Amino acid sequence: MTLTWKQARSLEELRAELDRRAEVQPRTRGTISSGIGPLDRVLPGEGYRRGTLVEWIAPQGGSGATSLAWQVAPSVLREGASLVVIDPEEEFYPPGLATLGIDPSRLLVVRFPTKRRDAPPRQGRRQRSRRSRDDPRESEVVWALEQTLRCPAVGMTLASLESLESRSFRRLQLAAEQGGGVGVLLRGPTATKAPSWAEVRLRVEPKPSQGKVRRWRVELLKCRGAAGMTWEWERDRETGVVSLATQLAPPASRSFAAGAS
Amino acid sequence: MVRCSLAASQLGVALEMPAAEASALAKQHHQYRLQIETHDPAADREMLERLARWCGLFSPAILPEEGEEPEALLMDVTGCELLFHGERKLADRLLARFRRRRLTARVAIAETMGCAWAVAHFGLPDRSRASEGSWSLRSVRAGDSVPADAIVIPEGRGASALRPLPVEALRIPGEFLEVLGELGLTRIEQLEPLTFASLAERFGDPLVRRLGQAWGLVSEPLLPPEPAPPVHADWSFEEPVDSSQILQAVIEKLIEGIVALLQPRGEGILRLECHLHESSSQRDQWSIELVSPSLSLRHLTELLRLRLERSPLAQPVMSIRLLASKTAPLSVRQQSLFHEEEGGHDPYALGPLINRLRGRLGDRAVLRPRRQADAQPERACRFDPVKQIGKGRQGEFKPWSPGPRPLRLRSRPVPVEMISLVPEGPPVRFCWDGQEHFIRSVWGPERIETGWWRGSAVRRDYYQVETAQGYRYWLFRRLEDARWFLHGSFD
Repeated sequence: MTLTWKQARSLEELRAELDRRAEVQPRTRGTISSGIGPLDRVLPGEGYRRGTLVEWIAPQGGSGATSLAWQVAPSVLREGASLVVIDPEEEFYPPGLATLGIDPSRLLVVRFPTKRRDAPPRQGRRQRSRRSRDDPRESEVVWALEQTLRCPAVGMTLASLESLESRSFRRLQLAAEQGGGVGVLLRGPTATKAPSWAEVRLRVEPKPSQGKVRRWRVELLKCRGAAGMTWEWERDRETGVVSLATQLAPPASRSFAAGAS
Repeated sequence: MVRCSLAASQLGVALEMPAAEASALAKQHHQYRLQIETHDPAADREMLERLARWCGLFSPAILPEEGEEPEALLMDVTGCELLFHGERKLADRLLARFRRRRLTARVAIAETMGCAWAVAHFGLPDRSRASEGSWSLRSVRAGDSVPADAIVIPEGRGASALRPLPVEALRIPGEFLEVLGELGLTRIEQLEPLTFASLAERFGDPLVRRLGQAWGLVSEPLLPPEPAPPVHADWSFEEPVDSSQILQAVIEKLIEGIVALLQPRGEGILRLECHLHESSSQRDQWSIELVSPSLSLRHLTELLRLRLERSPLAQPVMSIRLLASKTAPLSVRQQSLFHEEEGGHDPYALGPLINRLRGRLGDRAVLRPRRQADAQPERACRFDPVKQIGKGRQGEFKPWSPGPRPLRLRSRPVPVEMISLVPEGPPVRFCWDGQEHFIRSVWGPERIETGWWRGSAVRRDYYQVETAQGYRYWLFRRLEDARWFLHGSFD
């Protein structure tokens, strides 16, 4: 079958139109903005893919990696979905979200009260004082995380996990796929060596601030098409926007320019 | 023909007309087909009772009127109007509730039950004059020319609203109406000059009682109906059973029975209690609580399974009783579907997740952070167990505190060794967890002095510090003894 020039032309146009739509699609449906400009620019579909896990690896507390992980929350809240924090350590402090501009009204926190076999829990009185601070079994945390990831009403689930078996990891990934939200895992440095079922894996290292502006060196350890990239980011103190660090006054240590891979 | 719809009465269908004649009329003139149902007073009554329960959110005291074939719901709203910002709003909302169910209702609120009944059935006096006094009980019953409406008779105006109404508005039996009609007494105002004593002599007590109730001289108490008894299902074993598998199978069977019983009521389970009678006359009981009513067999079975895993059997069990001790109408759930269609996620979709987490981890596992007006950081945020879900209160987001707050706060501040070059001077380095941290930048102090009324006053100077490596911590110096503590980290 032969086509006339005009037919071929319109076919060409249709194809272009299809391509254009296919490009728009993932941005609106398949992905959600990470809330971090430089990261969105390199991720395929300009954001985290829905129904996947994202790992943030930081050496220790106080690094600011958690606040970077939270950047996705405003996009989730705008869509009307809920946020869930799995908090076995019972140290999550919601007032800290205020500086990130996150409204905690649709936030749920899951904790693991230690069980008492014999005495039924008394409801009237608060009894936080005598609760033992033992870590709840890891399996319970993973179970709760899996259940939460599977819930379609939850847009983002955040949990910090030190160790995670590969099989459980895979289960979490499948649960996220089913629920369609984004699972954000905060990991310690030992996680770097372990295999990952996360779609995106980032390593964060704090850098000395410029004035009060916080800075980080961030390495994209795993990502389709853009792994191995390293940036230096900073957060604007007023707007909370995370962007590439300005190079006006380079810090003493080596700085990493944007786009280097 | 006992009742007909508004549309049918416009076709000329009248009451007490044979059904065949009515349908012939409709077909002949208008090409309509009437849908004719057999008159079933018992079903009508049951429906009215269900409607009464369905209106329970407006007042606890709501009943169908007395009599063989009730057709009105009586509701005592004394004091309830405060919850709805006035009687007018209450009446409008009640009407809107019926309208959403495509039910035509007339609502009247007045000082006395008799007056409200009269006005609901016969309208306001000025309207009856407008329709040339053509009001008759029959036309009202047919439903024509009486649109759905809500009337509120203000306090002290009940008598003037009653006076021009026909005597039928007094809720008196037909034989009295005939006698009154023979005497030419057709309006309530004509009865007013007559004394109660002479009326009682002439017509007997029922008329006097009704008249007195309408004027508010005889009280007409409305006793709230007994709530429907909680649904339960029992199972007894012939031999004591200690296998949790058998137990689980039995419980699943029982829950099926409970769901079947609740289904016609249109209610979902909020709390399900399980009573286990053990062999040595001992009892064990536990319950599961749901955050939104559910009748989903799958979900309830899953929750019970999670709960059973949590508390294994201590002793063999003789019998089981499952009791749905708290139920709620499922219509709440259905309304949320509209919310979902408007865009955004359905808040009730979280229900199954919360139920599951609570089922396995306990009632205090799923928490909602709440802001508290307290300057002391540990007390600025409260974690409330989620008991019920609804639309999240949005838009009331206020900053939690004036200063910067970390994302991680230790419930007990950790004492640290702080080295300063000058006493009371800026901190230089601190030891914590066996590590030495050199401080590069310090922001602060933010002084927090509070809690003296609790008996343990808090006097602290908070500093945000950044170490040489770029880690940020939240430290404070206790002003009483100048000791340093690490309270949180800017994760």
